[in-house]
Amino acid sequence: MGRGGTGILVIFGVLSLGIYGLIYLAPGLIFFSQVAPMMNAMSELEDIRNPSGAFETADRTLTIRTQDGGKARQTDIEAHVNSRDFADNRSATVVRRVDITDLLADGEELPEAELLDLFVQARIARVAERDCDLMRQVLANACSPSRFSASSVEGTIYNVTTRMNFVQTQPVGPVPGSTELILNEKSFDYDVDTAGAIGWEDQDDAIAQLYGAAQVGCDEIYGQFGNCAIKSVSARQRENQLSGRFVLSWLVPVDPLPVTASTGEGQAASPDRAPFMGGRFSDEPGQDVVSAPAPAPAQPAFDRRAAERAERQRTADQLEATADVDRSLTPYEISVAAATGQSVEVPQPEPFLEQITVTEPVPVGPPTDREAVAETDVEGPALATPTRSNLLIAQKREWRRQARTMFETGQPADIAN
Amino acid sequence: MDGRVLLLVFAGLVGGIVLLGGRTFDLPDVGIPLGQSGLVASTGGAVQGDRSDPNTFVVDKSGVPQARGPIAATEHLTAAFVGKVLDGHRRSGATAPPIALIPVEPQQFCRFSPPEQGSRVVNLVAMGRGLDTKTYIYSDAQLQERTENFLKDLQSDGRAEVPVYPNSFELEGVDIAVSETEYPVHLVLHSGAKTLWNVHLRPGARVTGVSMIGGRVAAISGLPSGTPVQALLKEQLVDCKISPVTRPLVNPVFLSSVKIGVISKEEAEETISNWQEMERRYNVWFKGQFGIPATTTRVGYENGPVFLVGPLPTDETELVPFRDLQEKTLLYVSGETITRGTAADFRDEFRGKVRALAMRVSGGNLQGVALGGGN
Repeated sequence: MGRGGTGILVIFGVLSLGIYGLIYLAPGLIFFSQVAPMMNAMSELEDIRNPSGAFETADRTLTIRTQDGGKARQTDIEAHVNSRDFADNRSATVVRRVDITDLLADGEELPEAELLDLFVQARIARVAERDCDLMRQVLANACSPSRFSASSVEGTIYNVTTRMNFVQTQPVGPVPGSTELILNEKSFDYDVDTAGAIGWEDQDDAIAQLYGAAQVGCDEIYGQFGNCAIKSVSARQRENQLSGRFVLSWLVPVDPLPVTASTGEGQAASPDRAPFMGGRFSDEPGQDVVSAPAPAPAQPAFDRRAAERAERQRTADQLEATADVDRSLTPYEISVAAATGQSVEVPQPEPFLEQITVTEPVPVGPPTDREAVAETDVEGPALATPTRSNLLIAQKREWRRQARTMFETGQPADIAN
Repeated sequence: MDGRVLLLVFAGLVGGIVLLGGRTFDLPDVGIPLGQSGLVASTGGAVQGDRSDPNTFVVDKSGVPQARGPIAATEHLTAAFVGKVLDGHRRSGATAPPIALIPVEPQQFCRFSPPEQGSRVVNLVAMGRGLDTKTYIYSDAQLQERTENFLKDLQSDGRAEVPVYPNSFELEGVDIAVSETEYPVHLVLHSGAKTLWNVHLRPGARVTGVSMIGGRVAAISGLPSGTPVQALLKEQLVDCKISPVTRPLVNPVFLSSVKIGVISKEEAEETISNWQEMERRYNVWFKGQFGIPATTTRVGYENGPVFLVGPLPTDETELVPFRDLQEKTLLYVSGETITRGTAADFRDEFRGKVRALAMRVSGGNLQGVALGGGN
């Protein structure tokens, strides 16, 4: 074979080994090279999409922050500003209490009990449509169910959950005229007493009241700040009331304070501008808003770590010793001995703890005579032969005794063995 | 570089992928020459084994012995090459389903009938995946779950498909070669979730009874007519408060956790103590049923779907004749639905049941389950 052929063989061998190695290392490689970075990327997605809390409108770029001074999430900004379309973070969730016999067609009967969940799943699209219809009547000019599901409460009573995205009817209002804004969000609880009435219309009325309250609240904020959006509404029908909650959002400018640069994490504060701290501005220019890192903990002593490792290794050795199975006889020999009427002992596990609590066996039905005999046969005395585990336990006990003697007397203890 | 060289390198790459790409190799089960070493690949990877010593194909995997080659587990604390045990074994499993499926009544009590006097009790443990059987199992709950997913797909994006992967429903075949002719044997079989035990008897061998423990189904073929078969399925074991212990108490993963400090000494002591107690209880119960302890008699490898019951055959005349599943009837105990046929048959059957159930719960109108479908 010429040099060329040898070269090809070498290349073939190296590449094949490489592929072979990759196949067996692939799971680890995939995790470390793909999955872990993906997880990091997901957690940092918001930073990548919106590194400074910026949001672009047709005529300017805004920096929008939360009430705490952090960067507002892009999805939250969109839920407020993008008022003419559905937004992922603008949603309503309604949990109705439904008697599923109401979902039957004329003359139809409920299926057997184990199929009720499926039956409900096949019918709840109608409930979701009803929820959206109600929302369109009171609060929204567009509504789309995004998810719906059901869970059994009792008998034929189910909780039916519908999640909807919506576009509110009332105008949200203009974005305030500033390049740096705070996106405020506030949650309001609003319960409606239904006095145990949970018919379809009763629940419709209660949910409509909740929607109305959200609308009124938003109108008030609109009057004060010039803009307001209903970010989310949730309603859950309980025994005697509808528990409701809605979240409203509105934008306010950080003006009149003369701040145009942000000092968020990872950005240096400009010395001539007030840094932003927890939603307020400090009068002390250049103050570092990032907490100083905590002082590093004292380095643990090397010998202490080594001792801990050694102790753990000893424990593992001890545990491993307890797992040994007596293999002095093969299964075949034990089986033949039993078949020919010879005694077969059940080896008892060596107690790892010095004081092991032995409880009675679990009764498994009326015991046969044979079982009763077996119980007495196998409950023999503890093994007298010293084992590795027992020796280790004894060794440790001795070490403890020596340590105690040294502690109490200040003198080395006598070596027992 | 010359284009032909590049072509050869490319061919080498493709060849490398084909040869070493994690595929399972079906080594011949018979006629392994003695005194050779070689690279043997099997389900779960490849190991360097000595072809003169089947025990070199056993590796310890998290405390459980794992078969990494064509070896059978035996009662003699040694492995045996399948080719030295069974004559005509098919490692790829059944080519066709069993002739018929015969249901057996489940046990009424939390115990088994005692083995026949003089019978030798053999305690086998099935671990890991088995061989193809062309026999499938599914529960009502699985059917309902698939139907629910089908309905949700219809509701979310209008898809009216029912994905079915027959492999995930297929019973997993395990072969038992019975070479024992000196004593009648009583088989105690610890099943996996859906193990099918395929028994092959050497002429003169006799099985006096079978007790199957665990699993969603207890399935066995190859027994002479009239052989008593009893089973306590996993569900019954739970009700009976019987917790079978079929693996070693302490495994390397647990020990590693102790060594690096994830599990404290106190936690480890408590865990071991609980395990020991569980094993003690199971041994007591097992001996009460079968007259032998469980821990020291269990036989089985992870990923080892062949067992030898009885003496190791010493020459070809003592090999146990292999009979394929398609020549046998299947006895089974299960509260679930068992069916037989090709993968395509099963897929069609299961899809049909899902659609039928969806149609039923939707009142005969599948379009109505989606938004806007009620109009």
